[in-house]
Amino acid sequence: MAVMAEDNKNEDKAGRSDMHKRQRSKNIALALAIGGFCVLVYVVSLVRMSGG
Amino acid sequence: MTDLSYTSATGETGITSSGEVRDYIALLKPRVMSLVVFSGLAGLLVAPGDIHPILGAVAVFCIAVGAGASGAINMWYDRDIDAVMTRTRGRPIPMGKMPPAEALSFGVVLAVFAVALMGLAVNWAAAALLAAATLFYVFVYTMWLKRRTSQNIVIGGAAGAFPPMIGWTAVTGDVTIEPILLFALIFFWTPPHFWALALYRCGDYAKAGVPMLPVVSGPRETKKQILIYTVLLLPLALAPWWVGMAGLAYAAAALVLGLLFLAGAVAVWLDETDKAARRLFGYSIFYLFALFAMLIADSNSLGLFGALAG
Repeated sequence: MAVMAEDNKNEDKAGRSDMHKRQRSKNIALALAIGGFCVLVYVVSLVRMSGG
Repeated sequence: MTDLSYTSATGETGITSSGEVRDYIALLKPRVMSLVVFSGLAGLLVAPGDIHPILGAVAVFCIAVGAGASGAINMWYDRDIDAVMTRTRGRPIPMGKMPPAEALSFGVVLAVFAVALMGLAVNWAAAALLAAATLFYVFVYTMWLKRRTSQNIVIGGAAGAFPPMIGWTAVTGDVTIEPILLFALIFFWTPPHFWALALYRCGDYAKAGVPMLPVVSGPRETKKQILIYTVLLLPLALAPWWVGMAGLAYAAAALVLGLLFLAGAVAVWLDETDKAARRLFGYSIFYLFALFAMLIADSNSLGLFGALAG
């Protein structure tokens, strides 16, 4: 019983770490997208204000 | 973070977690997007007048994001038939990689973002056309025509014909005869392109209950229609030269490319197997890329050939 519980725990850990990894890459992609959007708005504002 | 459980349109229940970054990219149909971006860029480059390079890049980016958003919403709506068809069952939703609602919200957010950015950064005429293209693709093609009529891709093809018009309008701020010609070019190119695919994927479409022309009227009628549209496309491809948008080099290229397209359509007509249809589908993609590349190179507003010659 103790071995089975240990196995389940390991599986659970592996599953969770996989999920965290996926979530982490999604968070990074979202952060990059938001950062990119801010830069885009800034650059477009500069261009528009300079009469472009 | 917990896993999400959902029931798909086909009734099956799946346990799935939120998708990975590559699944979101797959929702945008990157391969389709490349053609859309290229034709949008062509419209932008051949239009008379100037646009700041950064604003031009933003316009092309908005066209790409708008097209991707339409693709994501299409995948949300068509998830039941995507699961049945061999060509589409590897998509993120039928694979259970993400809940359908996530694809829908992703698509809607991107569509609103693309239209708003186009309006604020470039101009509202281009933004209106981008909104029209997205709405047409989602509501008219995906939700209304696709499952009801064999003329689905003829009328629905209008959605894919918008990008060069949007690119042009991003520069000029209005719609004249030239962008309408570019629109017509893609509009008449779409049926032979999709019907060539449908000819060798006929069983797939029949299984999913999508009334594509080969399913409803048979391969003979489809081959006839491919031939008719290819014949119509030939003079239409010369029209940019006729109205003074492009020079003789473009006209010569359009003629050669069009004749090769016609030869492919004749081969499809004569071929009892699906070999010629597969070849025509591949060629049709090359045709559009090559035609627009020539249009860019030989357009009277850019005059690259003229500059090289002079």
